[in-house]
Amino acid sequence: MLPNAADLGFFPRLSPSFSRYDPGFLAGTSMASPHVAAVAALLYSQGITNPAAIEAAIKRFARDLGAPGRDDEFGYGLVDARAALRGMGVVR
Amino acid sequence: VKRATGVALIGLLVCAVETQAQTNLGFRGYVTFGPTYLSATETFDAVAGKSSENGIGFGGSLDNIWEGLFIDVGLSKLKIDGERVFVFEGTVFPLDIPLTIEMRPIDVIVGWRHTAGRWRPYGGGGISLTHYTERSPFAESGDDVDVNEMGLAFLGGVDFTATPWLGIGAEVRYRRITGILGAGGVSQEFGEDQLGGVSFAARVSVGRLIPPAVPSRAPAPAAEPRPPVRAAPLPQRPAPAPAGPIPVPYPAGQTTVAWQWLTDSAIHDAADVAPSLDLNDSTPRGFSVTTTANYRPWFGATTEITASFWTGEAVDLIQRWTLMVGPTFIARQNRVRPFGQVLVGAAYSRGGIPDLGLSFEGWDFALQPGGGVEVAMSPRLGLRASIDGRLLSDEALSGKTTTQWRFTLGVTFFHGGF
Repeated sequence: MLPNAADLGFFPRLSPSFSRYDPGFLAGTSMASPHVAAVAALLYSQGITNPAAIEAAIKRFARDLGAPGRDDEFGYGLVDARAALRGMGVVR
Repeated sequence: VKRATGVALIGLLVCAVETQAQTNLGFRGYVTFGPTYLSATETFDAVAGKSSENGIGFGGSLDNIWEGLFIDVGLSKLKIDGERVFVFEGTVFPLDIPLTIEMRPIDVIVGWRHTAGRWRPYGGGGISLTHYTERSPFAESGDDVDVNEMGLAFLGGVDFTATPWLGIGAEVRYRRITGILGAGGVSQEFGEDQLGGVSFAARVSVGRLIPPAVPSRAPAPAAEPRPPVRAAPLPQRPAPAPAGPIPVPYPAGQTTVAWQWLTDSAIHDAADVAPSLDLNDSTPRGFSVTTTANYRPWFGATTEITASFWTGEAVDLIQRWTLMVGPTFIARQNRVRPFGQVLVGAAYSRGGIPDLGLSFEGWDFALQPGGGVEVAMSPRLGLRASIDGRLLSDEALSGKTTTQWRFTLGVTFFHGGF
């Protein structure tokens, strides 16, 4: 049986463990933009390929936070991937 | 509202049963089948790719409660399959999530039906209680829709009484339902808040369609045996009075099919805005079908359907349809008979003028007083010409009241007994 790379000492031997990761609070556009980008990619995969339409969908279905409508603290609110991908029916 | 409607219905039924012995009450059950054209065209075009669908219906009617008065309760079902969408600046993006829409209106209509002859026109108005549902997969609480809303319904049509117990006919039904659309979803994006529309249907009726005798038109002497009901009953001539003026014979009903020309103030306004488009190079024209049930020599109830179309190089087929009802007064002393009438109802308009960026569609209130002259060529055939002034609320096109002058020339068929 051939040794693997870890057995030969090329890599430190690590076992998966959640205790190795500490919860932390991170904020700002660096954290927000990947979430928004992911939702944008999902909308694109649904056939909404117009960038302006993708932006409109993300804003339209965001969960409003803080003052009603857009505000400087929360922007348009919390991105809601499910609502954006589900779109609209006739009444809702 | 449901309780009040139920109490009113029970009251009418009790009155009807109590008067049956005196007035020869008729009753019928019926089925209908035909297309419904929904008012919210842009909304349903977006989610289903169409704004009309065939539907079935059934119901029952108590006829001749008093002088031709009937009460009709009908239930119909309309199902449309589409998909959820996203709308951005008028562009629709389908999202591949199925959407099933169902409408089940229950209409309670009170109206008048002509009670003699084989052709029996009828018309009326009432309420419509509509059950509306909207379902899609992966729905969570609050995603689907299940609501009831009350609205208005108007009905007009004609039955051909094939036998005393079987009738076939055609009818037009208009419903106006607010309170369901317009508050969210695609309907809000397109600013459409009317769920109703126009339904055209073929109708087959089974029941006691021909009362053995109709006291108001043909009182039968009590001492004489009543003649058997025939397949093609001829209404009896009203009993002549022993003294006084000779009764004027008049047809039980009459139908006029006419060609019509119109002037339209909204079109003239558009032509003034854009003189280079030569919008006045053509005149709206179309047809009308007018049916009158004559209750007296000088008085009848009229139902009228009209359609006018305006075409031109700069016009994207502007069409206006109307469905109106009202009284008609006519002087029948001679072959040349002047008449006047006042009709009210609904108008449906759609079309556009692309060069003006104008595209419109919607329902409006219509009022049409007018009159003309009818010339009897034979007992069954006549010619008719009329001039009407029509007012449309015209929120669809101009946003203000539109005045139309209408000229018609047509052929009149007198049907039923005299």
